[in-house]
Amino acid sequence: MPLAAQNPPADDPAAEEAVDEEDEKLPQLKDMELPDFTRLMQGPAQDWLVLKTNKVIVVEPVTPRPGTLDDIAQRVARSARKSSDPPETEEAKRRRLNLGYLQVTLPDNQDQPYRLSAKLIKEIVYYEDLMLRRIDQLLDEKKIRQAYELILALEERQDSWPGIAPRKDRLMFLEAEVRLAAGQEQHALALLESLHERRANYQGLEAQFGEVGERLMSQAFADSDFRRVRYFLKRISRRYSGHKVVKDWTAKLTGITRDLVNQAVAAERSGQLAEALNIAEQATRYWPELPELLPVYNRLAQRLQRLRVGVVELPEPVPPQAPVILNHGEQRRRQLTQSPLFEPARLEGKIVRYESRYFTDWEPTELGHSVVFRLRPYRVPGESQPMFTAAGLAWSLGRRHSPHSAAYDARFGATVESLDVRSPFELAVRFQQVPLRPEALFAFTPPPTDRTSDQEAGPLHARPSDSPPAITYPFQFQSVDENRVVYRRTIPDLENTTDHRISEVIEVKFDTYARAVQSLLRGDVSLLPRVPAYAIRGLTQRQEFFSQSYALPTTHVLQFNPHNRVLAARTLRRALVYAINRPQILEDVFLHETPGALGRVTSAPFASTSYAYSADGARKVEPHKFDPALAFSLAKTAEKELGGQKIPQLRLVCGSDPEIQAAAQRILANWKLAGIDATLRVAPAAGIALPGQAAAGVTQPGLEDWDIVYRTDVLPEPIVDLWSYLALTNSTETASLGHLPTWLRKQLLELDRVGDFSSATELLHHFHELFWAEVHLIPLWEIDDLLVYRKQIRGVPERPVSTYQKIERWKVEPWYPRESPL
Amino acid sequence: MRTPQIQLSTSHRSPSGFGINGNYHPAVNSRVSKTLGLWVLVLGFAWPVGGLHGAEPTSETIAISDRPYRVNVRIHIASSPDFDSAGRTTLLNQTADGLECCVGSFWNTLLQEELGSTFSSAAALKRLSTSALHEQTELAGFDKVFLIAVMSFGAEYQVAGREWDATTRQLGPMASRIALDRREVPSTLLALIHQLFRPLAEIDQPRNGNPRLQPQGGHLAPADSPWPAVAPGQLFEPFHCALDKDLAIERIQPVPWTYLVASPEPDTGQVDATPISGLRSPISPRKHRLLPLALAINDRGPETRLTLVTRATVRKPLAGVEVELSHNPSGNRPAQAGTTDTPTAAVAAPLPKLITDRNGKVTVDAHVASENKPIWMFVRSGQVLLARVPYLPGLRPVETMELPDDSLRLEVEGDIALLQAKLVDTVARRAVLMASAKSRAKANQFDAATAALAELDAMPKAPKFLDDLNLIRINRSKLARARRDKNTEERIRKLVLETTELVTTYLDENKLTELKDDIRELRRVADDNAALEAQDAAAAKQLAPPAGQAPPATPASPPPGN
Repeated sequence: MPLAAQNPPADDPAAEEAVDEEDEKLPQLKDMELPDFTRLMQGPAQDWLVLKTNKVIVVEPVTPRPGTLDDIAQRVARSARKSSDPPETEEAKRRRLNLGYLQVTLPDNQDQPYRLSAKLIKEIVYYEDLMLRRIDQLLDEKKIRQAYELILALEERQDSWPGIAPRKDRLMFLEAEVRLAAGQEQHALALLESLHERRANYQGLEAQFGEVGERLMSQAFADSDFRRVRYFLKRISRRYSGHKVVKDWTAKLTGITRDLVNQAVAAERSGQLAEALNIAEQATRYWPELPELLPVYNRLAQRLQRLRVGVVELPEPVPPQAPVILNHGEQRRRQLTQSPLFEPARLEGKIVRYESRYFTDWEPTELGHSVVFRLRPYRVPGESQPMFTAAGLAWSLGRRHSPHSAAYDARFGATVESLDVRSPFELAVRFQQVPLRPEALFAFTPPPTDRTSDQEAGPLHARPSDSPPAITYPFQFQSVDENRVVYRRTIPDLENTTDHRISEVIEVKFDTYARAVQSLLRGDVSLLPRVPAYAIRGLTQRQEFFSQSYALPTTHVLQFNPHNRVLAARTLRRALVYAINRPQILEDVFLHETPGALGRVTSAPFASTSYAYSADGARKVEPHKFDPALAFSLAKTAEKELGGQKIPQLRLVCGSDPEIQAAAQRILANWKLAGIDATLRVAPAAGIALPGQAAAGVTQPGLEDWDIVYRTDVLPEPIVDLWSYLALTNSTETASLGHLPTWLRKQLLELDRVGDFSSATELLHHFHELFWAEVHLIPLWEIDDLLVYRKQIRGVPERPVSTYQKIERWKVEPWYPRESPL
Repeated sequence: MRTPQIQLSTSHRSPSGFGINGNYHPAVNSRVSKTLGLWVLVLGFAWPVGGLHGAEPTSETIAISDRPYRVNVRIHIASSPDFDSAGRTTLLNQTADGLECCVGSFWNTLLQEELGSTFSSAAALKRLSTSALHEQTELAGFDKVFLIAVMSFGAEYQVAGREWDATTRQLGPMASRIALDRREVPSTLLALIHQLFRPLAEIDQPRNGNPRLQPQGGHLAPADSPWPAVAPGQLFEPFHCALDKDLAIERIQPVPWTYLVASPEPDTGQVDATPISGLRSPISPRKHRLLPLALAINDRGPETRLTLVTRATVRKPLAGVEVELSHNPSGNRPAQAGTTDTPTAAVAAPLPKLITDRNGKVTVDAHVASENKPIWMFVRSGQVLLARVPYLPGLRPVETMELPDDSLRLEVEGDIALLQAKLVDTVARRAVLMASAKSRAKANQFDAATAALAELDAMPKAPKFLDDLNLIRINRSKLARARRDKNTEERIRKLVLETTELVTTYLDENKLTELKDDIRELRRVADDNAALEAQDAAAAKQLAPPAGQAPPATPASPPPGN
């Protein structure tokens, strides 16, 4: 054995003899097995000392490393004696001779150090070298993960060990191959890009780039995602601008774009303007940088202006008379396809002011007992509303006045005494009782004057197949599919004018608000009707967008089904309200910041900025505080009131908006903690049976199977809007509020009759207090929604009340995204 | 133009068509019956209008049961090729024949063609008003006037008509029938007249017991007549007729919310009546100048538009008031224990609950009262029953009900609801805090328990709620007194009293004091225990021998408890 304990003298012959005998037992290098991955990862680290006899001694790691033998040789050389040197002592001689030995420790006898003459050692196979050998093997076997882990382990031991960098390069290249084979082309591309940064001249890298790029762009092209094609093209061209793949695809895309431009021009010449614009828009998606595309697109888009809107909900089929619309798409559809006589236009002070498309003026006479409406005998350019004569309007209003008509409005019938057509464009309306705000009383879409349009518009609603589509104003429902809905202006622009307005509104659906925001940033859509509060700050700082706060915040409210016997218990309703941690849900789901600036917890169904909101003074109404213990106690009391039975599972219904669903889930979790079980269902609309239907046992399937509804609404004028809000029907008959206590019903009737503003305010403040006390509904929070749109859109009112306010007068300047996708 | 007329020959034939007094006179009638035994057709001879106002026989002259109806049937036949002159004559003759067969001596009938003096079409018939008919002199002297319109529609004929009861001055609802063949028109016409006919009766109200009805001509109608004087179960509407000094009817006052159900006795001709009324004693006994009459109800319109107003002189519409309909006099609300097993309650399906509109109006469909049986109408304002009356919808197209003004009490109900909501919160929160304080104290967490007690002390107490209640009561009672509305004042007092009981029951300060005592006691015990433990520890320390020193051989005193 070449090893010797340190104590015996090196020149002891007996010891040398013993060494030789032991040496016979050592393994040959060729018989040594490379440690496996697990062994190398787990350790312990051991080096191989290869003797000149090719025998191997496994020892604990030697030092210094690497270059141990070189180090010994250098030390021996440095200590060699010269003839002129003075005689050395025994001790010095012993030290000098020891320099030629390597001190080692055997794995099974770590307490006993040994020394071995360096002359006997042929080479040292370090533990790190063993790892590198194993890495090479793993890479050969395409075991990328293990190889990567071993490289990391090796780097952790000694990151400067020679041979790591080439292994890393190879690892990246091979992993790119593996990813490509596994269909993860983008991953492969990223790896190749990293490798390019490390070693641009790696053998085979350019070819691999081409293969990966070709695959990626082909896929994107097949998906008609030309922006993605251009994106990958850009990434590859950054590394290899003259790559064949780059040249080929650039030529392909520009060629297609050029063809499309030619087709668009041909279609325009043949008078097919919409088709020409479709083609031009398609061309902008292929290769927007093409110089000849811009003038053609501008010309077409200027003539036929399109607005693309990013939404998370498209309109869903709902019964035409559904009173509570939970689907925001349907709410917007109604804004586009209904043209009321008066519309809320702006907020002045705390009061919403109305405007009319139809009347030049409306003048109260006889101390408000009558109003003379003067109809506009013409349409202003850009408008798209039906034209009414006084006789036609009187007939139409008469239908609303007649109890035998389907359009009957009991409040209108009780308020209006007579209609007097004074001239073709002058209609006098006499009131039985002076309405406080006549505009609010007439803020409805007039019943259609012809039979063909006597039904709700659009293919979403049940209509006899042979009947023509109903005409709606200002826009007409055009088409809908899974991803988008198209509305077209009912009264088209004049042909010969140069002052064109918006012609089409296309709502494009996205799964999440984040996708919608991304699409706005990319230029795929130009307007977002609602931006999540947490994304507002990021968007408002960007120069290319305008952002408008709505005049009134959107109030989120939970409302109870009055036909539910269990929820008739006020104690249970109070338990429900105290169980909800409203500030926390508002912050976590909607705002992502402390409530206050962008949204706040509220205590009324109307906006806190409205005059109706009792916000100060002795009658200030604070929202119910979150009190889980009180909620639990009240829930138990409610159970006792219900005869000791457990509160049955409640059914909460909400719209499909992702944030609202998330908030609803949190509310359910809060209720669960208070011992109240509830389930969530998503529906586009809700309502309850009309008074007559309820008595006759007639139900409206899909509308009525709920106990609590999560609704998001804006009540511009609480004096008028509160009734239908509480009634949960479209009826304004007194019977529709039959579920309310008589005293509350009576006060709501007083609100209809109220003659002066201060009394109305006083009464509404009282209602605010009553809603808090009786918990007929649970106001959750109000959010200051924001409308964000590109600056190319003109004419959007400042602080609009609704998304599409005055949309027929908006203009969309031609624009398409030309910046590079990268 | 003269009106074609047919004077029916009956055993009590009236000579009035020939200028004799139209009022019943047995001597004249018996004489005429001997001379005229046949139907007589008189064309171009007008009914002598002035002749009807001759000597008025009094009710003492002959009992109403022996008096036949003086009936005028006026048939308007619309211009049509089907009804030429001969056709009209035939129609009138055949109708007269039919009437003679059906009613016999029961009616003294003058049948004539209506040429437009009273009405000119079915639409005009619909528009007829009571006052217009009452002022028509040519209808005077008759008890009943049947106004019939006959018109053809394509291949069918429509016969429409109304009955005018001159005594009670009531115009019956319109009814119509269809005949598919011209030959069926006379029989259809007869059927319609039968349908329209509403018997009249005098009411005898004894001091005790149910009233009795004496139907007009009750003794004259043969027992086997297809048109009996009163059918079993027939419903009557009572009227109080004030007579003048000549015992002629001066003023007619319908008895409100009262109906009589007839039960005729076949032998005597008298009819027992069961009153259904919202009043305690609806029918007054007959007096010298007061004649109670009853008019049968045989047909109704499709609905009644009922207006609820406050009492005179304000007569403010009562909007948003609940009108509950029920077959059951005790209403649709769940009956008290032990009363739910009545057959009526078990069988009758609940009727709709209506709410008056902004003008205090509510429309009651006639079909809710099936088989001509009155339903019960409960008018509720919040928790208070304003009225409970039987009602037969469709009897009149419009009707008005005067009720007390309950607005003041409703305001109190609202105020108290608000206060009760706060009370519920306070009571629940108080219970939670009390439980929390007690549990903390038991766990020796006296700081937390003290904090909970401090929160309890900060909560509104019973006196605060009682002050608020008193404020409500004083303010509203003052207003009620100003209106001299004692009922409302009393109701307000009751409402406030109920809530006061709730406040004193649930916000009992004694419970809080007991809790504080309990916690104090728990604290004292805990402190004592701690002191004892400290003493023990000190004693043990004192008794413990210093290091290296042997313990004393015997204890200085016996250990406690020994």
